[in-house]
Amino acid sequence: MPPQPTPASLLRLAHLHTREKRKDLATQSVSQALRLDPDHPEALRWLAQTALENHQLEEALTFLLDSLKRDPAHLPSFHQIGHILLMQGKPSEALPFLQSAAPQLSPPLRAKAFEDLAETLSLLHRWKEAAQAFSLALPDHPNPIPLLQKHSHALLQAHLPDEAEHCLRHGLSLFPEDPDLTLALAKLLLQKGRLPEAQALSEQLDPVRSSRAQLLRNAQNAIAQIAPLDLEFAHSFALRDASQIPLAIPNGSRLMRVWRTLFATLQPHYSHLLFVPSLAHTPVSTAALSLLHLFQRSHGPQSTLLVVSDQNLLLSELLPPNTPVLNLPALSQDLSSLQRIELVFSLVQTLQPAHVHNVSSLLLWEAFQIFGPALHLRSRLSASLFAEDFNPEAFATDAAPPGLALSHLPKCLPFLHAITLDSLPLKHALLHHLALPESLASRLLPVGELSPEALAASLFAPSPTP
Amino acid sequence: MTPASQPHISFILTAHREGLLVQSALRSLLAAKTLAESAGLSIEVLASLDSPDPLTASLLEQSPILPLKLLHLHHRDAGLSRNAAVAAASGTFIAFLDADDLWQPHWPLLAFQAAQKDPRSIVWHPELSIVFGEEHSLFLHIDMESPLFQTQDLAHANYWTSLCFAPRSLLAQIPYPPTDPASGLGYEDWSWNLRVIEAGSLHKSVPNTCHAIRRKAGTLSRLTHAFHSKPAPSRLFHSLLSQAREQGTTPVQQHGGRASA
Repeated sequence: MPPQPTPASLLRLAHLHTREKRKDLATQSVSQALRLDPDHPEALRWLAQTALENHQLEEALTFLLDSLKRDPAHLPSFHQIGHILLMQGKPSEALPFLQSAAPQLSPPLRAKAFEDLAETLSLLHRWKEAAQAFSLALPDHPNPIPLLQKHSHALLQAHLPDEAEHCLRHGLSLFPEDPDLTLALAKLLLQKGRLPEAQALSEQLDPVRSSRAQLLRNAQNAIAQIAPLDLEFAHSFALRDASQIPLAIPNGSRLMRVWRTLFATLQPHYSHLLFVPSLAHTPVSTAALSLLHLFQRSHGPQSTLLVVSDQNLLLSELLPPNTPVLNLPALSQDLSSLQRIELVFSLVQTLQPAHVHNVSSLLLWEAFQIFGPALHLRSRLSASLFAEDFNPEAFATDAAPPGLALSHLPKCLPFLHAITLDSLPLKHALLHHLALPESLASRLLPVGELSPEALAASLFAPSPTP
Repeated sequence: MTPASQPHISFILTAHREGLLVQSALRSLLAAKTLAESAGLSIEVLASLDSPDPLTASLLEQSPILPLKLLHLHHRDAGLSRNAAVAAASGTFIAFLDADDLWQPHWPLLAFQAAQKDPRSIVWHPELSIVFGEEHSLFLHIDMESPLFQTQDLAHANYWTSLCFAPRSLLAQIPYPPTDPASGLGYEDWSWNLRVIEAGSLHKSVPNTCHAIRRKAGTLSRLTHAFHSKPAPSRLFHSLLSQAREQGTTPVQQHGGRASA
């Protein structure tokens, strides 16, 4: 007579079948063990594992909780229960299980349990404790690089930016030139306002250098799998392998790097933007400075960001002290004019200022022409025009540009709620030439005819929607 | 757990005027459905027909490739069509496919498995889109938790295409905005991607997955790729600035009283 199987021997058999990938036989052995002992904790844990593999989290949880009734000190089960509750988005319920299990488990389970504990505490926004748990997960963790990044993130969230930086630098001392850690450090330095260091770090890296080969292999596999579905696709790639296809990274452009630098200089309290082509001893600059004074008096000295837009010429001594200034050409000299127009759009969309005023900035006039319908959804748009901006004879002689009033104003007028003019005759000339209806004519404001208060009232008071 | 009557995933095919190209999309859906079902998932397949041409309509109405639940719409708007299809779907998750594009067959299955492993509120994207047709490129979908990701970049570039995989509840809670190319706000998916982040959810990519995106002249996506198409205004970036200021991490650049020409 062969010996009667016991639950323990059946479970040993199940493990053997599992190692040989005979899942069906393994299941039979476990079922037999459970018939002999329906509450056998190891058999229940085996069922839990199978349920987990089939994404049946609730069932897995039930089996594990049942297994604890007979084996209440089984720490890996505590960890697994916590892990499942975490996967189910129940961090508060997961926490006590993980807090019990993590410190008592031995490596390598200990590292994973502390990682789950740290993730749970992060979800609960208990950042200091999360950072502590990440640090305890690190020593035996098989994949420390993502963990180092998460640890640094938790430290930053816990308002410990220096410790966050130290964590990443420590990681880089262990894994020199790791692209993920390097980029995480660059990002952190950018957040801390250390732009040159951040830029130097990010520019020395091809951000997907380490993963490019893997991406291309994945693409090649995908091409082989998709090709049978579509003739055009198959034909496209019949003579072309993935390594010949350019890899487009949405944030890999020079424009994006300039935008990041620009963004880091912005303050959320800029409620007014005043654009001027350059700041020098010119009548246009003088007019812009008068308006800047009016803006600062009406809204506070830090309310208005002066944007020098067309030429890298900025005489700062002309400005009141501590005026916020953005020198766009200095930042964007390698960009095309279309890219600089996109920068202007993003600047306005990001700040969503109450008011954007244009004093002869060609860049902003171009942006008004292209993006006017979108920009005026959130901001009042206005402009200043001068006598030199109206030159109708140019059309006949072709000797000089016709001026902004003729080249750009007509298309932008629907989006402009006010246009200041340097003379009353210019208003009459524009009315005559553009044949404006009275509703639009009221937006033309000759500054010589208005007191500063009246000008401020016209510029800043809410206007009827154009 | 998913009730017996509720499919794990609703595949939504958004069709318009794709003509014969829908046949390839249907083959793609069938391949993905077969793989997902062999892994134990239940799948429903819906096709939304938004003001279709007769050929597209008849190919889908009489599809011999796989049975479809058809939804006839007259929005002429990609975002509103998707919203209507989500409302008609019953799966726990939704996977979108435009009728001229293709999935790598294991995409919905791997996306489902990724979603099961990570219970947070997440919109999933493939790792790569293989652009083919009029142009060829590989478009990398950047995961929000990758060091490559910086939120402010989204003011300039749309990181993710519209062929996403997401919980139906999330799509119902955050519907797509209508498209208005005339106002210059032509990217309903870009605007929606921003709304998802504003609502506190994540965009993540599923490793080792691809879509094939057909680029052809005259399509809506081609039109909205025009230079001036931008997403609707979002408070996301302003909030980011305010947050950075609270943490004292954004420098103030100030001038005045000295020359720096």
